[in-house]
Amino acid sequence: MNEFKSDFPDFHLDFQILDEGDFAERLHSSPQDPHFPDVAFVDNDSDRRPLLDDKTVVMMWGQTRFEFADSWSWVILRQGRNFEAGKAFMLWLAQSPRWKPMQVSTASISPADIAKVQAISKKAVLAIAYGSRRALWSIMDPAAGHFDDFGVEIAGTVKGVQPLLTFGNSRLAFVLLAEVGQREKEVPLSSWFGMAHSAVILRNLGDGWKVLAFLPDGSLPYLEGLLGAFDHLGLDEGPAEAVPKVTLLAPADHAQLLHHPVPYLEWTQVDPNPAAYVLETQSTPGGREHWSPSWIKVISPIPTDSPLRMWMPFDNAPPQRWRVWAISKSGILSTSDWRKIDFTN
Amino acid sequence: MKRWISSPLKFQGSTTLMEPRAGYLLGFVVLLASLGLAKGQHYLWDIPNVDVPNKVRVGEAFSQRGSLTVLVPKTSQHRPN
Repeated sequence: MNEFKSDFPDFHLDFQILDEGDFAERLHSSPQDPHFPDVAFVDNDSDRRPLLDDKTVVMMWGQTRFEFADSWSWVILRQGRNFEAGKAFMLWLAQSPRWKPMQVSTASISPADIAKVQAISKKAVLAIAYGSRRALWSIMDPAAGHFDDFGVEIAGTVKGVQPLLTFGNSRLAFVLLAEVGQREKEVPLSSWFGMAHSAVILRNLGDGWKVLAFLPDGSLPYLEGLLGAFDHLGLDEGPAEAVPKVTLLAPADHAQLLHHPVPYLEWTQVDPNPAAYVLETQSTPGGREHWSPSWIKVISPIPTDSPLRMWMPFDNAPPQRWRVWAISKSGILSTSDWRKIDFTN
Repeated sequence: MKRWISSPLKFQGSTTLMEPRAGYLLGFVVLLASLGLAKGQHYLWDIPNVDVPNKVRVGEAFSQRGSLTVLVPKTSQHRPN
């Protein structure tokens, strides 16, 4: 919280860290209490549930930029004395007011194309927010990973969408966006307010830009790291040579595996070496084919003729299908077929 | 809408009226499809397109003297620093 004091030295932030018992007592105290909070970090469900049921709090929407601070735990108390400042605090958690876009080196994309990819990216964000599959599919690349899970629908409450960073070449473009959303209480759903960040990867096959991957609601540092990895590829305007499709080797399609030990993924290298491979995964919680948005990771090729092998990366939700892209230095891209994994535990 | 649903149900059990029932059902499906299409188009064009005034909002909220009380439990494993 020293950062907040540095950002706003004239504003008094009363940051109270209390023992569990005192915390619960203060949280459920009378709003007339001079120490009644405006904002609280409530990660205990027994403390949070009554507040949600009584509609006395507004939860944070989006992700904090701070590590180890679960976004779902931040709430604004409606009966606090400074509700509007509480909302501003939610925005501050997601993005510093001193934030500036990182310097990028992949900048051969034209101003006209920048305007086009920004407009399409904003439309993608809003289509997700409104749960409008028709609007989203109309701007998706045919090779894009289909997904069904649109997350928390906040239709009618998106206050705005703004591109923060755009870069790329004439074939691949990358857009980082911020969106502010607010949903007032609708029984039985909770109220939300905050700022979410998304990244969009777009491809131009000569007939216009389409969304190849939509990465919703990531923390700003995470999305900047991911986009920075794409920028480091140094995409140029070289000849449009085709890139061979990656052949996946292991695990076999529909392999029946345990979550532990963590399975490894293996695929053949393409020749000549691409600028990068990209691992794309999706999960389908519950076992039915209701796919999540994609999670992607940029992987540098290594000088070897052997197949590439890596451990399946996942935190909480293990992915149930995966594929690999190969990207050339000039931004030409191929995608492998999908392979599914049937976890048995 | 309900009339479209109840009408064919009257004819259940009658083999001779299967074709009219199928016709009703087909009409109902077409109606649903057209409503779905209209809804999709409505959403497509009804999406707002405005910019986020983040810096201004945060800056304005904290530019004046004021206070904000933030409550955090000491025991939390995810406690912000």
